[in-house]
Amino acid sequence: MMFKGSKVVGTKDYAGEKPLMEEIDKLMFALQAEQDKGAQANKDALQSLQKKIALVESKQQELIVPSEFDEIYQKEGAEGLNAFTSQDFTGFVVNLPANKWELWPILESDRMANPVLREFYKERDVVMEERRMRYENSAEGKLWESFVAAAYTAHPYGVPTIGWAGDIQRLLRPDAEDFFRKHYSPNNAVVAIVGDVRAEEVVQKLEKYFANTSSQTVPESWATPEPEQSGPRRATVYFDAQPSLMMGFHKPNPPHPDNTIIDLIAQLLERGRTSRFYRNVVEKKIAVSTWASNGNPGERYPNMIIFGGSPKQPYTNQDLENAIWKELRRLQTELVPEHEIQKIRNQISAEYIRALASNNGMASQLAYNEAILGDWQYMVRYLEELNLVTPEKIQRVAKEVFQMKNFTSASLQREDKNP
Amino acid sequence: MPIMRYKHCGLLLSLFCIFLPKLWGQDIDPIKKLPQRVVKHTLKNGLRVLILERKLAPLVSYEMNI
Repeated sequence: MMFKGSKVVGTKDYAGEKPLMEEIDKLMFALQAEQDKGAQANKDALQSLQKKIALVESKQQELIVPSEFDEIYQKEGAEGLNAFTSQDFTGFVVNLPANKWELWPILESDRMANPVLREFYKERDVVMEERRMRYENSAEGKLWESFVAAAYTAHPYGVPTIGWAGDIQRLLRPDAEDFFRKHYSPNNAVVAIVGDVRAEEVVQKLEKYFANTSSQTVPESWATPEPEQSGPRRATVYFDAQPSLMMGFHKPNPPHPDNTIIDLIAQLLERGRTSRFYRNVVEKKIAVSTWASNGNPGERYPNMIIFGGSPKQPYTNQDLENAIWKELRRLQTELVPEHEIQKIRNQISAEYIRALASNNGMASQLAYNEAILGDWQYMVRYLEELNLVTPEKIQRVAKEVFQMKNFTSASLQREDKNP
Repeated sequence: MPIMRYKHCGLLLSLFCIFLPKLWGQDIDPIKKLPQRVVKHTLKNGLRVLILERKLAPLVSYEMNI
């Protein structure tokens, strides 16, 4: 939606476009009200409203300059222009030739000050389609939604990033604009700029270009804390696909030092063919694949370590769960040898440093650590913390986190038609 | 003439040896020296900006998180 332009980009005549968008909003509101009547809805009224919407949309279409925002960037040699969302934040990325660096503040300050959510309802349909494809018709997507919904009963991490279908269908342009004004303000954002620039000049020019954007009163970022779990939770999803399993445990988020220990545990269990999962679960033919992932669904709030995989016939999800539990209990009862820890430490450090070698990798880490974890220098401390992990610390954390009362699982399997 | 070539090679090799550690240093230890190299500035409108000068290639990467 954010590549649709502003009052000057993406349009031939914003003054002419504005009343048409307002007209579409009114018609959409009326359509929604009629649809809300359910079986009592007047079919003729619905059809008439849909026709009117299509007519006004076609009038607006004549005033739109499609993809102008992208084209301006591309003509100047930009690459990697993208935007993405997660549970914690929205990210905007682009790489520019050094002699065109000022294009970013020029375009982004305009977009921040004067965004126009044109073709909003078409984009809403695209999001619905994405939801169908990635969640409703996907085994992994369905399993994930069921898992987080079971794991989080109060905290918003239980709600999928893309939203529930019913909510997407009811979202109107004025609501989205209101949300944008409240949350997408400069004082709620962090930008990292890495490359062939002079810092002093960048600061000076950014002050100039962003002078047209003012800070907003950002609503307090309050998320209902997830109450401490007091027993296992299990979800089952019927889907016509190979069985698969997700199981996870609540745990502290970074910068809590235990998070680093859990990062190491995740790698120790699943990374490569010498990992414990591979040797003891995959090679023993209990599972086709296994994985472990720390830091889900986000990292701004306390989160989870999640394990998963697909059992190999004749084994079941329950067999896979038992095999994973066996490895977790081993961490609680046996100290991990120092050489095994050092191997994982080296792998994590090497991967981390390699990711920072590129400008965009570095920009990504700087922005993420500052915006989400509250201090970009956490990325420096992280590697220091990794060196402080000991076998005893791993054992303590494993005992604290991997408990049945803190356990959630979701199992995807074919429906048994003859139970 | 071959001697001249070798001379140039020697010069290039010397220059390479002088500048390599400088270039290498930016990549080999990108973490430890970051606190001295990253400039943090908050604009008048509250936008927090982190800038890291890297002169290895004429490129600039941006990432904005909201």
